[in-house]
Amino acid sequence: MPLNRSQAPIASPLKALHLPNFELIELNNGIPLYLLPYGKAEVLQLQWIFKAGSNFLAQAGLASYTLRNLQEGTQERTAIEIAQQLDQYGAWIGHDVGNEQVSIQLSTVTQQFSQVLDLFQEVVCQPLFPEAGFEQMKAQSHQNLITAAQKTSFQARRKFGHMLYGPEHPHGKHLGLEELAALQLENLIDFHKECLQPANSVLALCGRFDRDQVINQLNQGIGSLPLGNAPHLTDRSAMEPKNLIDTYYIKRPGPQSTVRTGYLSLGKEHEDYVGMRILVTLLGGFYGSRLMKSIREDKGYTYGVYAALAGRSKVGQLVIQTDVGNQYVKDTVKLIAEAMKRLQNEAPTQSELELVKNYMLGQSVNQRETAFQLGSILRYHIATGISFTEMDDRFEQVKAIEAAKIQELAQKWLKPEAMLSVICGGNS
Amino acid sequence: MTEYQQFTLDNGLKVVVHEDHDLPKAVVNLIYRVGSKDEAPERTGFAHLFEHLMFRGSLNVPEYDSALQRVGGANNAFTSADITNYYISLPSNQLETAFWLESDRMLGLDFSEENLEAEKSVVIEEYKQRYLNQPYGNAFLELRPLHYQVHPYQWMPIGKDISHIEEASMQDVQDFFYSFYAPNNATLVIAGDVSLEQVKQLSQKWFGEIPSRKLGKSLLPQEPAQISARTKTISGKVPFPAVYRLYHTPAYGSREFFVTDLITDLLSSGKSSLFYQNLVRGKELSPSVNAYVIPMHDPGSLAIVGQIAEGKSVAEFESGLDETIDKLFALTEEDLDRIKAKLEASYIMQQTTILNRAIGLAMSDAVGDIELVNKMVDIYQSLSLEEVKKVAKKILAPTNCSTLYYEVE
Repeated sequence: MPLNRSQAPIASPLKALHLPNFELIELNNGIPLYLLPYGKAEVLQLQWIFKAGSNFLAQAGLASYTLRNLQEGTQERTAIEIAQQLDQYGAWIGHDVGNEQVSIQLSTVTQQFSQVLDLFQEVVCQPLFPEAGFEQMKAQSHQNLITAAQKTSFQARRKFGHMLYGPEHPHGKHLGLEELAALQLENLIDFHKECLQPANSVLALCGRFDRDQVINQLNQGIGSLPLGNAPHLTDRSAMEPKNLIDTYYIKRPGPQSTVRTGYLSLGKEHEDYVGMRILVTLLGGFYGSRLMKSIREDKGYTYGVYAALAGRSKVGQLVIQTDVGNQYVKDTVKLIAEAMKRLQNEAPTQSELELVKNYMLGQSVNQRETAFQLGSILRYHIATGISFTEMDDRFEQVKAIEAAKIQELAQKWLKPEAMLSVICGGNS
Repeated sequence: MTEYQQFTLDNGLKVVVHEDHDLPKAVVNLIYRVGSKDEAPERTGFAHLFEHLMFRGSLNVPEYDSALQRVGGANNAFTSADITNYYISLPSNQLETAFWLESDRMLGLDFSEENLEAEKSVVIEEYKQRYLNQPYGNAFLELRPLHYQVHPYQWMPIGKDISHIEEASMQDVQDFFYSFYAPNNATLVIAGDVSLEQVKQLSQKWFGEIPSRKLGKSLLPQEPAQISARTKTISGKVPFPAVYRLYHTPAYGSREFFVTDLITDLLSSGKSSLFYQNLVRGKELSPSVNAYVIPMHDPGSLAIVGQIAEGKSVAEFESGLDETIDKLFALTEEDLDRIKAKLEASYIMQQTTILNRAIGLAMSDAVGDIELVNKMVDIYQSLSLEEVKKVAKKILAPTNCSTLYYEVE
């Protein structure tokens, strides 16, 4: 029988994936330890997570600067000795600053974990914060900031955050030249002393490891530390969602302009969140989205355009961004509004909705392939309290959403007439 | 160790299978041995433009992307000087859809003049976004022709000039397709939750009937050895001056290539590296200075890129840079062992995804030695200090270097 190439092969129904179980125990001194065995590869990641994310901090860049400076030297070792020792055992120490928490991560091949665990603890607990390293890092950042500011996308992103949240809000503050100059070594030392306390922390281990051996090792080190006191921090991220409708122009020479537009929207805790994720994906979250079809494929105005819902706990933001040729700015802004209005005026077809749902469900496996990715999911759970079961349940929730619901959400949450826009580029 | 099996269809399509049943996921990676080096000098940017057009509709499938997304798949592609690589990741129970889509666009393309025009415009915007609207974005567009005087590596995959893309016609595009897109010029790697038997059956079913084609490859002019240093100066709207250097290196896959790669790690990988210790810290001559290899099938390049620190001169930076490079010759066995350990660990971490393993197999096969994926770590481990110093002396010779000075306008 000749092959019928115009007919797609029969598709099988997508199967739900389940996150693996983790175990939660306490070290001898009471620090909670999450254990999540995962994957075949002989690698693992230990995260030391402290509840001191940017939501709690008044000073821009304070947390990230403190974490970067941890590797500048300890009581026992200089910066170069730390770097060389990590290389010798094929290990990396990285960090992450989130809204709720900061984390310091040790990534290594399993076999070498015990060789670098003491070093990791030393770096987190006994940093020296040498003046010279701090000043050099600041000089370096100063120049990198000036260079980054040449990019239209960088400027648009900063201005947008600043306007949307206000200059005092943790999400509106950025480490700019002034903030960098104001940052003092004492600030880092204070932050370290106050916030990076074992009492304020949890540990999360993910990957391939021998459970009993690791617990034993951790108890000899981190599990024997005095807990100290957890700091009293104020969440500075609470705010009344306000509607800022305006357009800001930043002039910069060059052939393209960055268009960034959006507004404050619902957070992760809202009951409409899962449905909104689908709606925003449909609008601009993947190659087959409405905006990609219209602004990239039909018009050829851009190499890429995206829409994203930044899911913070209570107040999130909906953002659309693209870099387009200067001559296309006006039409692009119009097309973005039109795409939003069309979602309000008509429900997506069954076929289109199936496509976007299947795409989202099919791709979820890519976010949970490696031990490091599972580590991020675990960190998300620790930050938000959203359980693995709730995350698994989203599969069915996504499948269940109907086209009429998507239109209803578009009418409720899309605001094409009430957006804040920043346009940075040659034609502004 | 990446295990794999392979077979070849009668039409010349090579198929490689790597099984990993941990997750219900499959990767389909199709590599064509065509890149920007196969373009005519007056028609550059074609291989890359073509990569975009491969998503604009094939003989029996008008919309590639949506057909794939409908079954939960995602895809992307990239074009280098030597190859064009297409990859898909999708749930493993939908594997056949990927075979259907990839085989149809190998069979033939079908898109309108309108589609061609819109896609040309997308590529022009990509050109602007990556090369013209970024500080220093055009540096390599300017440096490549100085470094390669005869080899087609003298232009970047994006093309020499926007006008080449603007002028591309339907006929040009069709000619390019039939010259290079053929089963006998490709390798298909299927990885993940799949079986050899299943892949054999699907490969025969979907690719078996595609005829092999006469390829339009021509003998490329080889770059003669460089015998004296070359320099070029340009200026642009940048905040600080910068220096870009390219050195000629051995081809990807050769033992000397891996020595060169290890040398770039010694120079600039992380905080223990020579550049970080001496130039970023130490004399504070640059806030960011990097060395890396550009792997190519014909002899390729080692790049060094550094921005000059505020208040320092280009001359100070360059003399500091050369002094630092000289420190390679004072390295000890201990320094070498450390960098080997780091390279091995980063290789293990990088191989944790199925996609990276599939691309690794495809790239190794494209240079004619698929076993490279499994030999690489042993090669790094076997390098001696003497060998490293010898290769460093040869590659990093000033006479082997082309330098671009980027000045503030």
